[in-house]
Amino acid sequence: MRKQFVKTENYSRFTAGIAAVEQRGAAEAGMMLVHGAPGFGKSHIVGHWAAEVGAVFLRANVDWTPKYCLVELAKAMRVDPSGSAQQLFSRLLERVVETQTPIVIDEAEFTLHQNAAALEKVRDLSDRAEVTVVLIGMERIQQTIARHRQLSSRIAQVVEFVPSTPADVGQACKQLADVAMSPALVAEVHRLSGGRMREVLNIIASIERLARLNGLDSVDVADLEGVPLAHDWQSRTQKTVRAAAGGR
Amino acid sequence: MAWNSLALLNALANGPKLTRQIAASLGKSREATRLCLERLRRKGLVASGEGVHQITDKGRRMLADGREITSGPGGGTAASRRGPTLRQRAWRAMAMRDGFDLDDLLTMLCDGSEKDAARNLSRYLEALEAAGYLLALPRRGEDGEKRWRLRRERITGPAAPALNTRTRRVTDGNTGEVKAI
Repeated sequence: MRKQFVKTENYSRFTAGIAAVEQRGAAEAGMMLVHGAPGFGKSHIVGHWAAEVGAVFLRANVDWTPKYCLVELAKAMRVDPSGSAQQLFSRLLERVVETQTPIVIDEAEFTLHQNAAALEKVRDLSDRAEVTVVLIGMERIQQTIARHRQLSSRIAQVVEFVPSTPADVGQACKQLADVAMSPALVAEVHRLSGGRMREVLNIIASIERLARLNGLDSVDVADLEGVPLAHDWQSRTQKTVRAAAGGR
Repeated sequence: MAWNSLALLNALANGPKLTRQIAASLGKSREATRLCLERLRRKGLVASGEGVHQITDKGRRMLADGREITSGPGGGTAASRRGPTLRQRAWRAMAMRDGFDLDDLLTMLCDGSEKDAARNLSRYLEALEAAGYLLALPRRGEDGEKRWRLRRERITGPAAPALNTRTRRVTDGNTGEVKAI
C-alpha cells in the first residue's frame, strides 16, 4: 500500500475554514475550532497543515495551568521560559507578533479547566498578536466553550469533522491501494470502516494481503464474501464482507 | 479555453473545492482541470493551496462581468507560491509527534507528487539519527518498522538540518554546527 496523505472532504472544509480565518480583518476573531469523534482525522489533517505552514503544534495535558501552557509554548517557539508568568507572556507576545506563527492546540479540552484559564491566556495572545489559533477537541468541546462568552466570541470558524464520504473512501482506495478494487468493494470498504479513515487504511492493507495470497490483480466483493475485514469494538463482533447485487 | 475557464470559475463560486471535486462537477479529466486551474492561477483568478482552490475577488469580478478569458501575457501580475521542502515539513512534523516511523511521516506529508519520497526521508532520518537529533525507540511499529523520537533538546530552530549525501555531513542552519556522520 502506498503511504500518502489523502485529501478528503474534511480536509477541504478545514482548508476553507483556515482561508476564511486568515483573510479576516485585523480586529476580528482569529480562533478556529475543529471538533469531531475520534478516528475522523482531526490531528492528522491539522498536523499536515501545520507542517506545511510551520505552525506551532502543542498537545494540551490534563494538568495544564496557564503558566504550564505558556512554558510549553515558549519551549516550542524557542523563547526563554524563565521568570514570572507576566514576563513570559510579554516575551512570547513579542515573538508571536514578530513571526506571526499560527498556533495549534490538540486535546483542547484540557485548556478548559479552572474556568478555562489556560485557554484565556491563548485567547489573549491571539487577540493581541492577531495570530491564528486552531483548537482541536472532541464532539462536546463546542458546548463547553459556549459557556465562556469571552472565548466563544473569538471563534471565527467551527469545522466539524464527519465520517469520510463514499467519494473519500473511493479516492483513498484509488490513491493508496496496489490492487484495483471494484466500485462494489469500495462501497463495502466504506460500510465496514464506518467512515473512519484509519479503519479504511487497515481494510485496504487486508484486501491487498488477501489479493496477494490469491494471486489477484483486481478484487471484487465476490472474491471476499464472508471474509472479516473489520471489528466492531462495541458489539465485539467481526464485520464481514457482504455479497452485493453487482458482484461478479 | 474560454468556456472551460468560466465554467470552472462558476464551479468555485459557492466555495473552495479540491481538484477532483471540480473535475467531477465539470465532467472533465483531472489533468485537464489541473491545466485550466494553472492558467487561471497565473491570471490571478484562482488561488490554490495544498490542492484546494478558491476563486479570487478578481475572478468573481470576471465572472460577474461574464467576460471572455483569453490567453496571453498577464503583465507580470501572477503570484507564485513555493512550498517548503519535504525534509523541512518532515522536521516540523517530527517536532509535533512523540514517536514516529517513516510511514507516519509519509502518510502525513506526501501526496504522491514527491519524487521517491520514501527513499528521500529514509536517508534523512538515518542521517539525523547518526548526527544525534533522533533517538531510536526500543519498540518497533506494528509491521516491525523502526521508530524514532526527535530529542527535544535538539530542536535547534525552525530550519531543518541539511544533509549533504556526498560529503556525509549534516549542517544545522539554526546553530551553524556541521556534523560528519
